[in-house]
Amino acid sequence: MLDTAAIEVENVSITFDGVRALDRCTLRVEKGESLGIIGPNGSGKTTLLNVINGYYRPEDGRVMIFGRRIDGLPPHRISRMGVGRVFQVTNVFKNMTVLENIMAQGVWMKERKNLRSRALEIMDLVGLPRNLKDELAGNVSGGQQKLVDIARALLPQPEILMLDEPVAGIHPIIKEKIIEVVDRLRRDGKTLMVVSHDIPSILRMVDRLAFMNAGSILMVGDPDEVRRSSKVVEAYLGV
Amino acid sequence: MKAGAILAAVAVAILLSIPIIAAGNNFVITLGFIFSVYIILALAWNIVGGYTGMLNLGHAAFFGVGAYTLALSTGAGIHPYIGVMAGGLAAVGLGLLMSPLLRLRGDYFAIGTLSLAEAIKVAVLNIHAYGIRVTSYEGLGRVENYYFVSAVLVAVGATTYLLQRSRLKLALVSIRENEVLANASGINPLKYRVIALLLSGVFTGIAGGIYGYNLLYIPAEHVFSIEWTIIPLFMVLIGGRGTLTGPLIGSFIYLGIYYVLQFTLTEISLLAFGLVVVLIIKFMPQGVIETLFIRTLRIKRVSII
Repeated sequence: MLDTAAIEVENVSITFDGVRALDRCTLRVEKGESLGIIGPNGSGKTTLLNVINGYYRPEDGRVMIFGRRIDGLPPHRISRMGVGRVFQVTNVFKNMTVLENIMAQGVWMKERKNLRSRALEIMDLVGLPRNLKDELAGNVSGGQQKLVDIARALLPQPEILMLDEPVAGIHPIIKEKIIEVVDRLRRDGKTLMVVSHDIPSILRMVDRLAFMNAGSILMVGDPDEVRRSSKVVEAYLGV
Repeated sequence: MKAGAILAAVAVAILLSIPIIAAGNNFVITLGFIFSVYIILALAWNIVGGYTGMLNLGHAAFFGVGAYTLALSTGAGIHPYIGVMAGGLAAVGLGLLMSPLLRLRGDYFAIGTLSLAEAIKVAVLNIHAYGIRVTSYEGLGRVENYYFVSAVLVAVGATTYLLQRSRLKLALVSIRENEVLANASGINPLKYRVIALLLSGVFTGIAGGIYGYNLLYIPAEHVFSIEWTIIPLFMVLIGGRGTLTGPLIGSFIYLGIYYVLQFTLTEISLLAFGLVVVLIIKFMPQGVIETLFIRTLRIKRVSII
């Protein structure tokens, strides 16, 4: 019997106002694998994540999580299946406290009592000082907001986590922290998809690298191999 | 927390002792009754307008439907207080009817609810142009009604208090703050909005019912009037949205200013009142609670649940 992958994207296409954002895109992410996605702006990286998280319904093709078909399910259902998401633009509930931000992810969880202590543990895990817990999330620094965002996504211990530009525009110290957290998740056997333009950082977070251009995956493989490929250099740098 | 419990106990004690202190003074009891109705409406509107941030301009429909249901039930020989509860139930029915509107965003939701409430008002006016009579019941007068409305007020206050500490609040506020992110957090926005609308509706319907019974005559024009939407809305905006203390303090400020101006400026009181309300909203857009207590007095904010 074939082992099911964590994420399978098969021939997925989607069009926005005549622009083909994903064009028969196919990708397979194994359980416990950390896959990086690089590619020029507008190549469809974020769209691909949005399709997997359920924000867009593909026009064509199918998406499976652990062998279960999910395209067409609403985002909250996919989230409850254990697929977390950290957005490119740092996304926090600005008028809620840091702790409430993290706990919001647990609204639907069965576990009733330990939510608060779990949220505090996750704050420690991502390196958010506990004295920030009662601050409004909109008032903490940009880097800390990113940590809040990641902590929120981690609360239900998702098996799969999608990170869109987790380190872009982040202060070096917090950036280092984020890379450490992602690397730890990888070593814990979580399945990760990381989108980034920051090549040195992404190499520290992933096992394999995929290169995307014009809505499809052109190449997947060992990070060094992908980076040196002439196809990638040509599409990325335009030479 | 202790201080809060003491304050709540004092408030309830004052609420219950008003008829005894008033000793048959109908004016005081009626004033207490009206105040309580307004505060119930403010707290109920706050559940949707404050926690979920949806500008419900059709709140008056809940109130009117509650009052009308009460009148129809007493006409059918049903005990008035059962009729009042039926008014709450009817408002829940109306809430379910309104729930598809919850898919609308921002201004569209506001316009949608306003239109629905006005449409219901016109429909009722076409049937009963002059309103409808309520059959009164021996032994249930002003004082009893006052106690009834106090109980409803305590109930809606307690509900808001519990809501503050619940996951429901987290869900509602997170949807208000950022729907996409709430979705990513496994929260189904529509489901929670419906829950909020029904909670808001049931208390408003009950308030409409008891208000109608206290009037004994229900002019459709009056009970479906948009003032039952706008006044609670202002109370919540003045005090601060999405809190328990906000609507409470907002109601007192609103009613206080309103009555003081009425007695001092008489003819131009409404003009002055409008000005005061505009100034408050201009300079304290987050409400009095946020501006005075949290910013100015630097009272520490805490994560509630």
